Amino acid sequence: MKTKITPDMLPAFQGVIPPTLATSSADGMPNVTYISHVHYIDEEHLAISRQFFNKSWKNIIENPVFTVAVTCPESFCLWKINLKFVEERTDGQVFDEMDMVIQAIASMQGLEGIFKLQSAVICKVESIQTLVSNGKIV
Amino acid sequence: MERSFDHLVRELQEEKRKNALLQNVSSELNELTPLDIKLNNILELLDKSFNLKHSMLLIPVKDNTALRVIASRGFPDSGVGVEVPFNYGIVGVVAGKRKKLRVSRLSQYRRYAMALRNEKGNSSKPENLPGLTDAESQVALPLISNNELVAVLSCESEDIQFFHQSDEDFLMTLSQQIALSIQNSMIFERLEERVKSRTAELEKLNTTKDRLFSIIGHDLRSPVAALREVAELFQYYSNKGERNKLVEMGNKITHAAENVNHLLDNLLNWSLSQRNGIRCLPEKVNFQAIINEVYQVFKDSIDSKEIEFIQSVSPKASIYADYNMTFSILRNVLSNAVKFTERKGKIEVITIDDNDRLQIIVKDTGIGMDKAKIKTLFTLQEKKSTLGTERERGSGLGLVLVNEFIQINKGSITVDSSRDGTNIHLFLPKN
Amino acid sequence: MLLSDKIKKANASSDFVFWAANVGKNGICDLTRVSGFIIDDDNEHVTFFLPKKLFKLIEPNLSAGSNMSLLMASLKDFESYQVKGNYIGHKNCTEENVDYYRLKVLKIIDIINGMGLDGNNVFGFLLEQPSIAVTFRCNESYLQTPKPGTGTKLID
Repeated sequence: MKTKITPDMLPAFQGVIPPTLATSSADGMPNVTYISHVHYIDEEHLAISRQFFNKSWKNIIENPVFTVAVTCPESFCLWKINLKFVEERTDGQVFDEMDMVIQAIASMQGLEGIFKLQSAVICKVESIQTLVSNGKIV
Repeated sequence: MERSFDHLVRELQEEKRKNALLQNVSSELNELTPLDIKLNNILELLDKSFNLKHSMLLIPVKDNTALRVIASRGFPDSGVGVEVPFNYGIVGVVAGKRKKLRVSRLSQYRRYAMALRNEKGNSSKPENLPGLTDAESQVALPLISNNELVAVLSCESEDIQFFHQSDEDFLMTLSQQIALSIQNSMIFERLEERVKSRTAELEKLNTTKDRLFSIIGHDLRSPVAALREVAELFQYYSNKGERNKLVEMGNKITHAAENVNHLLDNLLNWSLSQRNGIRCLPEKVNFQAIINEVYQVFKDSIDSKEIEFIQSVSPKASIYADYNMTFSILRNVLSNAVKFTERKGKIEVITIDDNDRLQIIVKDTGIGMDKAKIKTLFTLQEKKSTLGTERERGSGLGLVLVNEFIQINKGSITVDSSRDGTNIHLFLPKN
Repeated sequence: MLLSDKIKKANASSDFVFWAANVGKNGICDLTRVSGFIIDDDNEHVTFFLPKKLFKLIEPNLSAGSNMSLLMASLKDFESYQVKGNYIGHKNCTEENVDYYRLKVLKIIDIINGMGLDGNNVFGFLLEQPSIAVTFRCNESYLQTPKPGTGTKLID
């Protein structure tokens, strides 16, 4: 179990393979969805893009610890990352960087207004567990 | 232990490779070449050194609101000249935010967009940038130098993960140098263009000067030659004691000398006005007085050609203009009238009140001019002087000067002419 | 709750991938890929399959509660559904089970290969043995396709 993101994990945050987000309500009901990508901030922080208001977000407010699963398209590792909600940002460097991708795609595909970054959800990395390494279950 | 040693060796090799690359790239970028060659060299360099096979460079245009493709490599359609607005697409957003951007799995977004569009019935914006139809990854970098967005570099690949973070970082460190290199080439081109246009200006001025000299040289010759002839005849008749002839010669000398004087005056005035050295000192000038003075200059020629000279001038008519320039204007106009009116013809000077201007018409019953000739009256051209009815010569400079002077005095001139004669209309301010 | 036709149809097609998640005592979620599921005759229960090693990730949480969620998403056009319900029980996979989900996983690997990624390395681990079949009772299902209005309950 590690507690920091290591350089070999970086390609997992390119959005090549969409990550999965699992949150839980206060009364222990899980909610699992796909998200477009997880944004790497530094070795202890990640950001999730919030595009549509939904159950996941509601859960995070009730219960700030949640889990994200990312796959590295180069080393074929699957990591389960436990995260804790830090803050929600609608401006600042992280928001800008995440917004750039969404703006670029939205404008190219004629999806302005539909595909729009509502906020950047900043989270702290609590622990990382490797589930699959080099294509084999650990 | 061995594994970490291997790892270190690999890292070191990688660093060496990068350094060699940096050196090569730097020396290439530092060369001062014309812009289009520079741009293609850069794209070729990126291809050979970084395996970036499909790339393009765009520059900000329209006051930093759009990007235009100025060079591309590896696309079926070069797309040079295509423009996209800032904040549109990957390159537009990079230009707008001045930050690099990498997007992977473009096909995923295309499919996502298609799925959404089918539901909503949206149509995507047409994208006419050159690009790979099946691009999977795209990275775009802002090239900034001296705090100015010089260009945007965009690279695409059909490979899902063709660009590593370390490659991206390396390219970013090069980006400033690339930006500076492009900026230098652009400045170089702009300077070259300015030199070209200045040279063209100078050449034009030179041609004008040459023309002037040629006209003057050409036109000075005949009155000077006439003077010489007359001087010789004067000597001849003097020796022979024929006094009548001497008086006749005397008149001819005066006439020829006046011509030279007139020409030299025009030349001096022209040269002064060209160098903006001539000063316009307007004052109230009584027209009748000045036209009388001008008439004195031509009295002998008018009499010798038996031309009828009529003044229909109101004694109160006055203008507000520079005296010497007005004199020059009237002298040149009258000189032409006399030159081109036949023996026993008529010249009339008329003044008409025209609100805040005085209209002066110099009418003659001379040979007139055709439309083509009227068109060229006020421009300086070679070989344009026309022989007078009694083969009098003059330069084409006269009316050119008249036009200049009358403009300086805030007036204007129009000409109409037929085979029955010419009318020159001069308009000068009254106050 | 009876499973909607939409989900039945989605499950019958071959371009869906699956995840399962549950919650531990400390409120932290665990999740894992699963190979797929079959719908029981009563249309209310499903059985999903996953390698034993991955089942061990979610098993410990069962002592905290039986709440579980299943996610299925299309690789082609992101059509997604989530089914919430309860863990009922589990046992080892039968050969029939393995044959069933192996076909599905191989098809997914093909699709991924076609996208330019190494499908076997991304999904191949789902075929590791031994494997477990988990029975799950469906309570609520939701449309999770990523677009405005995601998260609406499926009623039909």
